Amino acid sequence: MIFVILLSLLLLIILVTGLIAVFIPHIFGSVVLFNAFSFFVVLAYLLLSAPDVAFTEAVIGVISTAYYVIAVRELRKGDRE
Amino acid sequence: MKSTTNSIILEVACRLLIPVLIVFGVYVLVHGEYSPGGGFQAGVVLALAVVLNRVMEPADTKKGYWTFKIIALAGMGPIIYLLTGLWSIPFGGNFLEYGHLPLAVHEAERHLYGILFVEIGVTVGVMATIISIFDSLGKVGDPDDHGSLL
Amino acid sequence: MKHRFSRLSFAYGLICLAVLGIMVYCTTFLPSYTQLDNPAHRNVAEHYITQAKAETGSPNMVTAVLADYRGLDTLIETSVIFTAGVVTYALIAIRRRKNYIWGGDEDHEIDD
Repeated sequence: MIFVILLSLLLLIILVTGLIAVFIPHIFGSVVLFNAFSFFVVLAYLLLSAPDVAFTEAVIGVISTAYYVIAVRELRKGDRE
Repeated sequence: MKSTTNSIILEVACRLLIPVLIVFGVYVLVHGEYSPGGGFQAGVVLALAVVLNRVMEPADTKKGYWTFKIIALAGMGPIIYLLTGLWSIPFGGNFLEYGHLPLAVHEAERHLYGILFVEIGVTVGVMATIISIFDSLGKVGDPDDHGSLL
Repeated sequence: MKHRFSRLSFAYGLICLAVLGIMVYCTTFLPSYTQLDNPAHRNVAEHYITQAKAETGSPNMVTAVLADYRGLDTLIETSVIFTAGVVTYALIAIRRRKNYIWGGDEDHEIDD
């Protein structure tokens, strides 16, 4: 029972974080919220006892955040000119 | 004296983090048969060390990165995988059948060595691909880039 | 950076919500969790779970399936990752170089 409650709570947080990450107008906030989304997905995978997938998701979340930060920097440089 | 880093905080953090990341990446690679992990995760962790080093460098660096070499290294990954698969064919096995590798160990242990060679290939390919994508997004061949990180 | 939602993006949001609703409705047809007789547990998984340690010597079943039983899939997956890197380099990095090999200098002027 506690498993179902925790998983439902986690899935709700994932849904809310993903929706805010899509609809927020501020672009760097979107990147940060995507990072939070990926972290909660990692927790959900761990709860479903899939540590291998959780490890892959954690690592991919970190590296995609680095990519997005670099892309945002390039966009701001384009704005300045 | 010209500063070699973006900021002192990044330099101190990276000086601690990069060796740990490299050791942890190699551990994930060679211990992937026994614990969660494997070639893909090890490749990304090793690439994170290089990416942290790229982030640490000052924004007005004039240094170009080794882009063509890194693409060639990314191509070496599938080639290592393919050669491991082809290696067992002259010794009576099928493609990627590790039980026929010419190693003087027990058959199940030959499977372990085959998995290790294959995952080294995956690691090299993923690591070089991630570094090359980061360099493409960032500062490659762009000497008049004055933007800071954020 | 100000950004106002136009009527078109509102329509896009409605389309996304409709697709989301369809997908959530389709999950009701999936087999439920923790049922031993759903298709993922019936065919070949039994053999993997019982024989993977003896046949490959690897205690980690995920690695055994990924690199040994399904080795050809992982080979193609690695080459797909390599293709992604090469395509990103071709789309982004070559365009920024001084000697832009696919066109003239005016494209470089527009780009930066």
